[in-house]
Amino acid sequence: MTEEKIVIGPFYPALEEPIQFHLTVKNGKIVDASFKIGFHHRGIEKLALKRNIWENILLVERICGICSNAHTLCYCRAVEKALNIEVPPKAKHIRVIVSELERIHSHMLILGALMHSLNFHSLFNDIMINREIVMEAFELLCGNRVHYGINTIGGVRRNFPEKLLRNILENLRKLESFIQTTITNIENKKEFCEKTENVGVISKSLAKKFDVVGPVARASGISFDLRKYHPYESYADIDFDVITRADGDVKARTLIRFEEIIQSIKIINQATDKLLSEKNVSLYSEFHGISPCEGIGRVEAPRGELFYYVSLTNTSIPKRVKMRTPTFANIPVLSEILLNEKVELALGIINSIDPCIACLDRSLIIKNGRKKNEKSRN
Amino acid sequence: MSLSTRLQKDIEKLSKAYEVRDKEIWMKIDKKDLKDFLKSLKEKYDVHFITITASDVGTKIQLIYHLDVNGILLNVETLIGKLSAFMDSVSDVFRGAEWIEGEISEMFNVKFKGKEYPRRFLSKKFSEGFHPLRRGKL
Repeated sequence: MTEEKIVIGPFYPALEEPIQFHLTVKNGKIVDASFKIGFHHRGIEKLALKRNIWENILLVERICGICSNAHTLCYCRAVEKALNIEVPPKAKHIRVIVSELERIHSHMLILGALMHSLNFHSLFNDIMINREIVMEAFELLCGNRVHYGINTIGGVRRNFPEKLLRNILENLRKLESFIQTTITNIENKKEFCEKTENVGVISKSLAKKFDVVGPVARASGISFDLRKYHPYESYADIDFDVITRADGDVKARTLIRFEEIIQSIKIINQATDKLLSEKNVSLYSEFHGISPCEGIGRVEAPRGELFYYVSLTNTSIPKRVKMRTPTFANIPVLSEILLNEKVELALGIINSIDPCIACLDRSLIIKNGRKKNEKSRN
Repeated sequence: MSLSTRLQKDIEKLSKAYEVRDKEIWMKIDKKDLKDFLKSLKEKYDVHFITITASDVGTKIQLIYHLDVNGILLNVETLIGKLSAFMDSVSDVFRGAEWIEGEISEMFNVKFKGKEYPRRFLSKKFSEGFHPLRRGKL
């Protein structure tokens, strides 16, 4: 049978963001996979060199609409490290609460998209309806559903009222029971297992070879979570588990996100208690003067390790701002795991690594793929 | 001997220019020694490659290789001349370095030996020979 070429994207309903996949299919199986990116290119790293360190908070927040808090947190941590700024405890707890709420909504969004691409539409509906609990929490706490504007250099910009936090915790309990029920329902569901078990397998060795991060790595048995590994903010004082699974398939990557939501709710409960019992009312530390220095921020974003490098001179305009997003580390492995899989499962495999193209396209990147095919395409 | 001490001893053999800050080690190394150092590091320790930061620092391009070595953040810094910006590719040591080397190649016009990164633009607006993060006309 002859080979057929299938092009998915860049604008396709089952993909969250613009990316183009070129799949070569033979006998219904994928024999070659490559992708083209850059439909979102904005040159953020260049723009960051034209703004001062405070203006850059607004810029990096707009890199991604899903993990906007992770970007500002990581950037602020890099600057704080460079300038030796100690963040007050109350600000640390607030940062943890927002980070975990963001992880829940990010995981639920991709789980919804994943269920949609696997044709489980009622589950997609249920997940998206329950995701509103978190989105409404954001709206009440931060006044916005996408860009929260919480982090600033040295701390946070606002405090959270106790009554509001209690209401949110009450709602999160409902969300937790929904997640528990969903895990029980889908774990042994025949239709779900058929489409996800032993599909798009990333073995532990492959995960190590490509240095994948976040839930993708943890679903392949790598227990790498910066919240435990390099605890930042108040994570060191919080009790939670790093969930790992050994299978490395789409099912493992799906279930791990459901289980991480439960852990996030556990973290929010503890961080809220710590926030409400905190005596120090200060929300940020003031600092004066900028000297030549460099700092690195590392944060466990919903998709994995986010990395920022900031280099400063005597002025408030940075010399260099470099960011490495989790999708940048996770996407190259797709060209390996799509091979020999059924073409109808391609979208499920792609969505299972939770690609965030807005994060990926923050600067120039080459496209990936097999060289023999690149020549013909270019 | 703790891991940090062991790592520091390995670094001392090669470079005296290193600094320990919190759980981070910053070291400077000659560009010709870098690849062999990273290879030996990978053989001895559990190394997680994070990324490479390139910066234009006047007449030179600075490359910082960020690695997580058993929980210690190791930053290996090297300088390369701007006029002949060549560097050994480490994509055969760390597969994850492939994309970032390609990005640096486009942004700073750094050529990586042993790996050819074809010049393809994300944006058609960039003219040939324009490298967004490189200062000057070179």
